[in-house]
Amino acid sequence: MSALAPADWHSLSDQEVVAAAVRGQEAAYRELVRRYQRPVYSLILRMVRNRELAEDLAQETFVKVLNAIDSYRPEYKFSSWIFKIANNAAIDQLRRRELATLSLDGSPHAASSEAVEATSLQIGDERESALDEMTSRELGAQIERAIAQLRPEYRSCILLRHVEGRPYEEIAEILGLPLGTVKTYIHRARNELRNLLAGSHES
Amino acid sequence: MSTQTPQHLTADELDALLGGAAPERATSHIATCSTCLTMVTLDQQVVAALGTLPALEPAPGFGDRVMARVAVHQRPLDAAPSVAATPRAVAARRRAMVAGAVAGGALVAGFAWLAAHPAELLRVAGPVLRDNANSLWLSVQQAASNVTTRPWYGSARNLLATPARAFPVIGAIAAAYALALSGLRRVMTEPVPHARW
Repeated sequence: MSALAPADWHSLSDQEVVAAAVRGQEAAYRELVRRYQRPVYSLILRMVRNRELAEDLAQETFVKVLNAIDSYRPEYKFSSWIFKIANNAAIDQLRRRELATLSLDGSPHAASSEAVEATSLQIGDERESALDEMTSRELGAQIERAIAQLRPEYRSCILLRHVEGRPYEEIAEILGLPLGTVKTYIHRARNELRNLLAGSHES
Repeated sequence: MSTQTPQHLTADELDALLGGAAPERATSHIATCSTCLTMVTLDQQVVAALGTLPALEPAPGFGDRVMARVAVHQRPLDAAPSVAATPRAVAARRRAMVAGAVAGGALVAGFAWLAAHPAELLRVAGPVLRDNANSLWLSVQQAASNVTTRPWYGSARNLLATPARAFPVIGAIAAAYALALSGLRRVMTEPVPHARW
């Protein structure tokens, strides 16, 4: 497996790639980063609302996971493990610094206009037409604003469920919460999002 | 549509509807309850909007920055050159093989000589074996007498006196041991629920 081409790595399951990483294949480490860098970074960024901080925390997450790859237990999903570490990193950060205030247009902690630019969320899809892009950006901006106003616990749940598409059981495992609590949080988060979006439409 | 309905949708029914399933009670309820129908419609819009949020990219070179901080653990199988190939290791292995062959030959020769001279073996080893056997037998007797003088010996003997009594006792002890062993194994492999990894 040591001489696998990149396309071959894509066809392997997470467990197989992790097994190769445990055997010390650097390409397997890189494949795990490639697979999870976007979802992990997205989750953290939507939690902490700051690009630089999100990048640091995402890096910390991967370094922690990859340096402890020997201790990974295959009876758990790799995605659960990495999302758990990512979520813990984001929650710890939110507890340390109250970054819950939304800044789609840039971090409230940014000290300069460059920093504001660097910390702003870029949403939208390049393939869309200009009009679609504007509509999509507007809707995306509204929902991002609404997510940012949720409690961190609700935010984790709703992002994992409806953005990352994780099943309830896995979310319960990631967050270390009972299944019923996860369902309740998601239900309440949807209610709050519904009210927040309705409010933003009215205003 | 009437808003006077006996029971609105439960969270599970709402989840089922959002997941694309159509439980009978839920579908028949929303056909008659405008409140729940509105809630389902709005929730569907929220979920759809969440689903359109793009995955966000970290800055270019993220993977390289991660890999610069990761220590890739090379396993012995993948690790390059084994010490077995060095001249020093080859010479050491050759010396060990020669020593092993000499020791093995001497052992075989000794057994062959003893087989050819059994009387000589008995003459030398007989007294030693006899003394050791006597000592062993005395030890066993002493241990047995220590046990039989204990106050619980009588009841233990009665308990195991017949096979009909002994088998359930031995079975219960074995079952308790197996239970304890499996419990211990489960405890050792149980995941820590709030481990922070």
